[in-house]
Amino acid sequence: MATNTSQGRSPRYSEEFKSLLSETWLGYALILPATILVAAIILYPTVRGIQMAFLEVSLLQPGEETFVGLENFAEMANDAVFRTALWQTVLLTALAVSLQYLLGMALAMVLKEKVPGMRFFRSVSMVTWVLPIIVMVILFRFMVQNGFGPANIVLGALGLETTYWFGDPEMAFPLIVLMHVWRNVPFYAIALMAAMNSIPETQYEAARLDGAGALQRFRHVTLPQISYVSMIMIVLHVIFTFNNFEIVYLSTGGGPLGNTEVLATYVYKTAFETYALGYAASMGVVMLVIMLTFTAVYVKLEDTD
Amino acid sequence: MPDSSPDSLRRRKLVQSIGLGAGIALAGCSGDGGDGGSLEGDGDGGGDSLGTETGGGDDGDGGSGADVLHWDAGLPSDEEDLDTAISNIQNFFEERTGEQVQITDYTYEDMRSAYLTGARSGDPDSVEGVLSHLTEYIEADLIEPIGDEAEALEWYDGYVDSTIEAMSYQGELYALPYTGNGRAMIYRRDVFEELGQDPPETADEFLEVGRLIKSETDLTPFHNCTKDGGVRAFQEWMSHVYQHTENLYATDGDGWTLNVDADTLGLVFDKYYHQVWASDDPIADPDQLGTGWQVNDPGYINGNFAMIECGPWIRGWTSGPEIDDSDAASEVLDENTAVAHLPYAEGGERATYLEVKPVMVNANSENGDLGFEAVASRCSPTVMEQQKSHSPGNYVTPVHEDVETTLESENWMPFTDVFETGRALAKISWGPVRQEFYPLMQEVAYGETDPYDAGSTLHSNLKSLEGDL
Repeated sequence: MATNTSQGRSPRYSEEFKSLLSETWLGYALILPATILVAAIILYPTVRGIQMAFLEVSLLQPGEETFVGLENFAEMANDAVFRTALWQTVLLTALAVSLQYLLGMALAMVLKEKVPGMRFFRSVSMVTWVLPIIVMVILFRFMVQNGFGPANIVLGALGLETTYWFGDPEMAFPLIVLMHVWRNVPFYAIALMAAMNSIPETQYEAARLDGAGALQRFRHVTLPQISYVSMIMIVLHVIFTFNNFEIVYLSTGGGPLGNTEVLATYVYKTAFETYALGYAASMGVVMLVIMLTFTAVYVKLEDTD
Repeated sequence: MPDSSPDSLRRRKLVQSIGLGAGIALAGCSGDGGDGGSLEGDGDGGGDSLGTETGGGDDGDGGSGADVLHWDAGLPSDEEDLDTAISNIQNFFEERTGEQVQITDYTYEDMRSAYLTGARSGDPDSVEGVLSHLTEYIEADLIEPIGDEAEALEWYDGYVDSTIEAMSYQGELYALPYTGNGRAMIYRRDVFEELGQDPPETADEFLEVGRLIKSETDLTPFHNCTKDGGVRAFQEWMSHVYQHTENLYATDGDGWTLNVDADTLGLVFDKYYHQVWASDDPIADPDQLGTGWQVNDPGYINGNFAMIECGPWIRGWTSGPEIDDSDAASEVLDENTAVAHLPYAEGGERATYLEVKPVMVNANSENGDLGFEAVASRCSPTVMEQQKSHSPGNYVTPVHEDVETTLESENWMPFTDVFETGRALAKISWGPVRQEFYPLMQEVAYGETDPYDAGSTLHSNLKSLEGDL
């Protein structure tokens, strides 16, 4: 009997084991280490940041915390620098991402062409994107130096006005937009080109047979099939640009006259110059909410389309 | 067949949401695509180098084998000089202790942020910095008093008194100095001689001679730093504030009180920012507004400016990407440059910003004794003498009597007198003060605000900070 029982148990255990293998619980177990890791490096700081938004806490004495409820958010509502920084962040993001997308698309269509030397051109076009930001900023600062910067030498030779453009209150912001665009257009181009190359040539042929012109082929064949990649690129770059700190901080520090102050630089100054960690965290929370909202709405609209 | 039950859909939505949230958080954390851009050092000299590490051995702690970790932003930027400078410190440390020290080279700004946020972990064991860092670290309980250990050093008595005073707070010594200087007026001696002028003593003479240079030569008469957030801009402004007051804030032991009136702040804005940049007859080039030391120092060396406010580090700067012509730069600095006290406005006197660089021990270090030895090595007269070969500008006005000045030219000798008029920063948290200064300074320099209105606003804003310092 004992033998029979034992023999009877084996297939059952085996079945259960197989069942377990096919169950999603094994899947959960397999992703558990990664989940714990993600929780430690992403969730904890995020939750801690949100918690700090409701505290008064100094960078110099981080152990001394006082719960202040919504006071940090109320202060933000009356903070003129915050409002300016928010507006300039939104404007910078909208301008930079729009221009990047349009120019990236144009470049992708050029790169897609099978003409001699295009492989080399494709490689070269990525240089701006792989360049470290600090190098890019130094390069731009050099180019717009008054007197010896190449940009000013050319402008001077043409009889146009020359100045240190990062110090010009009207030109500093457009220059920041230009740096974002200059840097990221190649990345858009490569991603969009890859999406365009995956569209079967037969679809274009069919469209031609139906009498579709170049613009119609682009509108009805190309555009719908690169929309998913476009969505990913736009969402990622909106987030990158909205949160970008280095380009502004290294080139203008937020000046002149606060004309290039963006939320990321203002958060940094608040935390590291005025030591107000709680207030800086509350601005970080506002940034997080704005980005989450944008992403959710954009993804939803894209799904609907 | 795909499972399309409501349960499965909810689960998929949940996973999608988590993925989306994680994506946003990662993108937010990484900024612009996760580039490895490092913050630029906006220190007082030219050429802060980006972070590099040099270990003291081959095994053990963090792969470096070193027993002590030291962070430093005051090392030379040239790679060969950097290696030499680090070796000098390491060798001296090893001779004294038989142990090894790992030295990490930083920019000041990166180092300050990293230390303020990470020093409680116990690393590094010692850290170099500037005076404003010292006050912040004391306030944050991140450095410990080293008076007893310092007094036991055989060379302790040789430190210049004023520099030791600058390292002390409430009777406790918190650091040792290794370099110091006072900000001076560096001017083109040849231009002044040609125009038959003496260096200006007062602000009015300074503006007058500036306008004369403008009308008689092709040079831009003057340049100072007006970059938002630039440390140098703040130091230059403080130099002129010190000409009117012992310190911006004074303490009676309990708290800090603003020690300057609104008119004086307005006067400083007027003479050194409004008249210089935004008046009807400016003596600086308004097209250079918003620039920092990156334009100021090389601009002078390249022969574009007739006067700047600067420290002695500029003395040996005759090569590098910022310098147009090394021979011409040497001629400007060696033959055609002289040094004078900064001009002062009415009611003021000779005084300047005293820069003394401290080296400190982390209060959370588990190797406090060795941390102090790293400080002692960095600040020993022996190592200072060795460092002169690659950083002569750091030892123009040595902070220790056993170290001889690197000055050879008679024209640069006034730096010694200027150093003696230097005033050290009060031991307060300077970040909020700097943040009040920058926007108003720029408004004045860009001609957006009357200097005396700006002085009044700044006075009111600084007054409101009294309780937070």
